[in-house]
Amino acid sequence: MTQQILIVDDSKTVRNLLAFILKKEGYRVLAAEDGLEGLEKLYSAQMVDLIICDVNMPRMDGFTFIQNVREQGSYRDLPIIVLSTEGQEKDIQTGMRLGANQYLVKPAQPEKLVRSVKMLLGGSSPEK
Amino acid sequence: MLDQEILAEFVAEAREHLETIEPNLLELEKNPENLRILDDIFRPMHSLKGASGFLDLNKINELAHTAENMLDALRKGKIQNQPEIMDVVLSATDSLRQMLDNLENSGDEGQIETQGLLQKLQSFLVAESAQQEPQQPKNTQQNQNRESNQDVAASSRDKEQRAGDGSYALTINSPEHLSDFLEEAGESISSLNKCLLALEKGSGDSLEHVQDAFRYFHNLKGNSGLIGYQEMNSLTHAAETLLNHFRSQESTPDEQTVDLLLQVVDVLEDLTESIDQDKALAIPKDISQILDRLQGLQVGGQALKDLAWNSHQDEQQPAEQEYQELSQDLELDPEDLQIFQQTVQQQLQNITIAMQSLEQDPEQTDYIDGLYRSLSSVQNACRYMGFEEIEVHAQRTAHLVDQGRSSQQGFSALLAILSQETDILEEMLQKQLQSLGLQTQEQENAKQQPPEAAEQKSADQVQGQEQAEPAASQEQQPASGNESGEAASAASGASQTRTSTTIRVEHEKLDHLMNLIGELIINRNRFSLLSKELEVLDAKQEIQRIALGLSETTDSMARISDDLQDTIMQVRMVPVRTVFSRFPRLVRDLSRKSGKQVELLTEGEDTELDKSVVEAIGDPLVHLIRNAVDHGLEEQEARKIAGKPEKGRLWLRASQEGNSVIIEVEDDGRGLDPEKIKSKAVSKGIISQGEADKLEEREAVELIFSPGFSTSEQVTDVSGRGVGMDVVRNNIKSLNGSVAVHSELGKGSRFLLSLPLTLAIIEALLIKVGGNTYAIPLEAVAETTKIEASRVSEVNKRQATTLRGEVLGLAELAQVLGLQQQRQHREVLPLVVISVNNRRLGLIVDDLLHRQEIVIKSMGEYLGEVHGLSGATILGDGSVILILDPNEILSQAMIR
Repeated sequence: MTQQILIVDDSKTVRNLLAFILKKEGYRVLAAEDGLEGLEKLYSAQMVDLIICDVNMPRMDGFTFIQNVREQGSYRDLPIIVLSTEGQEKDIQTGMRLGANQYLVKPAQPEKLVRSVKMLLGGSSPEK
Repeated sequence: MLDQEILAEFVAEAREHLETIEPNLLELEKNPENLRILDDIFRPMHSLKGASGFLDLNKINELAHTAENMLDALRKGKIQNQPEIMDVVLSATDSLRQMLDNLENSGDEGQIETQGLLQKLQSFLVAESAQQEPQQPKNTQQNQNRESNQDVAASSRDKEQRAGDGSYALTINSPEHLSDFLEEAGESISSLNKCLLALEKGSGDSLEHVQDAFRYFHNLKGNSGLIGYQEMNSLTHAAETLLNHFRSQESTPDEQTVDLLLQVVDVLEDLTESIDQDKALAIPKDISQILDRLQGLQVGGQALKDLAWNSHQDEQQPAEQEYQELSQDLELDPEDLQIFQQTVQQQLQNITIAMQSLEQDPEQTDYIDGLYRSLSSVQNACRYMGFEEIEVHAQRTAHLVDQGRSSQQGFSALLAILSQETDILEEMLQKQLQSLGLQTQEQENAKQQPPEAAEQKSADQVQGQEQAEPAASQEQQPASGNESGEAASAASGASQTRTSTTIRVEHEKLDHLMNLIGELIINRNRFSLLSKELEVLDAKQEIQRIALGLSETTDSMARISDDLQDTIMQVRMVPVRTVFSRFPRLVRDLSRKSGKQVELLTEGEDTELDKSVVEAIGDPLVHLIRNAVDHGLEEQEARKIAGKPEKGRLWLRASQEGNSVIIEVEDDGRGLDPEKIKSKAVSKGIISQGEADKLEEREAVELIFSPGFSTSEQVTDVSGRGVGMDVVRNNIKSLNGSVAVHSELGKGSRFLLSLPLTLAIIEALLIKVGGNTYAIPLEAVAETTKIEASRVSEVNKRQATTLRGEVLGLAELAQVLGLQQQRQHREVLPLVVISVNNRRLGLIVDDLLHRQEIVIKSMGEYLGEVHGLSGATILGDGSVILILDPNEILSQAMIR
């Protein structure tokens, strides 16, 4: 089974770009426009191996989203990368405290992000 | 990496953001206190910044970022809202839009001058926040993109924005602005030549000449500054300063100085000519020599100092290089190293925080989970990097935490040992990083701050205080996020951009098209079957059968092609909203410039028109709206005296009438004065006095469409110089539409544009005249009839007849078209009554044929503009016939 990554970002550009590069790396990709849809996708998906999420989103922001994810016992160790334009210490701390594994500040180069993904997934190949 | 599709989607998304921003900005201007609107502007700008940064679109990113900062400061009440700020933000959205257009057309942001805007934006921030530290260019490779957002120091970027030949884009809103500029510059230059020459000769009042020259240079300086033409701006500034010196001293420059000034004027002329008007590019000449000479002349010299366009050297920090060298030694990927360091820093920080919190209360499960996550993140990262020893240790520690959290005993028992383990882990990681040479200046604060935060801190010093409360902004976001998000998506649903080359199509329509294509193929097969049958035809009775089959198949083909045509037409339809949405902004700008209060009322924005028509009516409408504000609406005082509301009103309406769409631009201003128009037309030599006397009021008003006509006694910078109306008419005419004007003196004027629903296919009446066949658009045909030749009489040397009790003017179409008239006497005359804008005329033709749908083909450029013709079409038998332009025919016939 190929590893699957859930992208939660309200920008279509970001979603598509991430999906594009991640698919190129061999991952399967799910995408959601905001936290609420992210939760829906997460709950209905067979398996999600990692989440990349934005903070500033309509309906449900990224922090609330992470909180919700972490409240579900089965997702408490699911790697989450926060990708946000807000890059101040406070935000990073909030994100990490709420349960992010890593906090990247936009604009993160797509290359970088892929490496972070691989790192958090322990460098295993997308095919498990 | 930058996939075309992603780029296109970005452009679409970004445009949607801009389209959310602009109306909200206008709204905000009306309600400056409404902070909710600000949120709705801030949010899309923020998203735009985010998305552009992601794609490495640095210029867009930088502009959006600076605008966002400014909006943020507004939102937090750090600076006061004022119209000037709105102006700048609006220009910023213009520039952003331009860059998006470039991006779409050429794949990059293009040469857009954003420097001035950035400085302006920044200046509001600087002016209002006293504690702000001066801007310093700053470079750390690691965060280059983010830096570039914040590095607003102007000059270093100056060079980047210029193309290889040194050309750069001028900041103009529309091509008209540029041609206005060029025209005015030309005038100033010739005036300068005149008064400098007079000064040289010593004729007239020299002080007055100095005064004049000063003024012209001053104007040029202002205008060139406005369009961002730097060379011209610096040169005129220097000249102005010099002349100001003489002016204040009440002295006159000596011969040498005047000579130099004349040379300056020559250079200015060169500079004007070197503007690429089509692309709005400045392709500057080297002005340093003449500028130096001018500055050398300066007595005090100090005023010229701030002229210099200093260029700072970019400080190159070797960060990237360092990573590279390091990795070469270790055979590690430099970028991996960077990410690893970053990841580890964040995890360590998180571990520290989690441990501290757990020591206070060991049962906080979220911190326990956080600790586990960080440990396994470290473990994974180390595995990825191949740092086995640390990986094993991290894994062991993580395992410990996992055991602790799933066991029933409290977590507190584990704390002591965990504290030890995490300390060891941290030490190992620090050591590892150190051995990689990565742990230098951060070492000290590494325990407290991840590098991101450290970066941000120093960035803050550059940035000033505006960003000091990100958490606050973060918390405000979710609250406002809901509505603004909805607003954004609502806007995105309705919006389609003017310049977009794509069109959104519903699935259903495509499915329908596909069905039709399927039917078409079946039809084709039937045809080929029939043709085969014809080939082997032997019995005569078969012919009947095959003929029947052929006509059936043709009928079905006709049905399919009709349906195809309808469907494709629907696909091409877009609401006029797409073009109307530009006008609130235009009216606002005009209103500010002219000092008149104007209220714009739009109706019927959902009326649909062919996409190509919608795109083409933008400019004519801009002309009409400009005219309405500038010439139509009176000054406030005049309105008060006339008993009208102080605020001038301007209506923009769209509606569908049969196969046309009518667009109206109406104002409640002073209206058009037929007498004034007549005398103007006579004085301009457009018509003779005799002709003028014969004109009815309505006909007189139509004169405004003549080339080179302008009724405004005073040329203002808002509307053009009398080139407007005939351009409008030609534009509309090229769309097979027509323009009419209704005006009542003192009450206002109303311009009616009648446009075809589509450009491609029209219904037409085919007629024969002078031995040739012509098509007349059916829209213009009121009726066809035949009259007895004896009923034609002459009124005022014009032919006329009475039709159902009404007098109808007549004209021989052959005569109007300048064709050879076949002068055989006819008893009965076939007549086509055309009606355009409520004017009727009976055209006498040789024969009436039939009506049919025709496909309009343009006549090609080499034929140029042929009066009376709007295009050509090809008939079923392959013959080419010409399509008459009823409007033009009508005017031509009237002149005779």
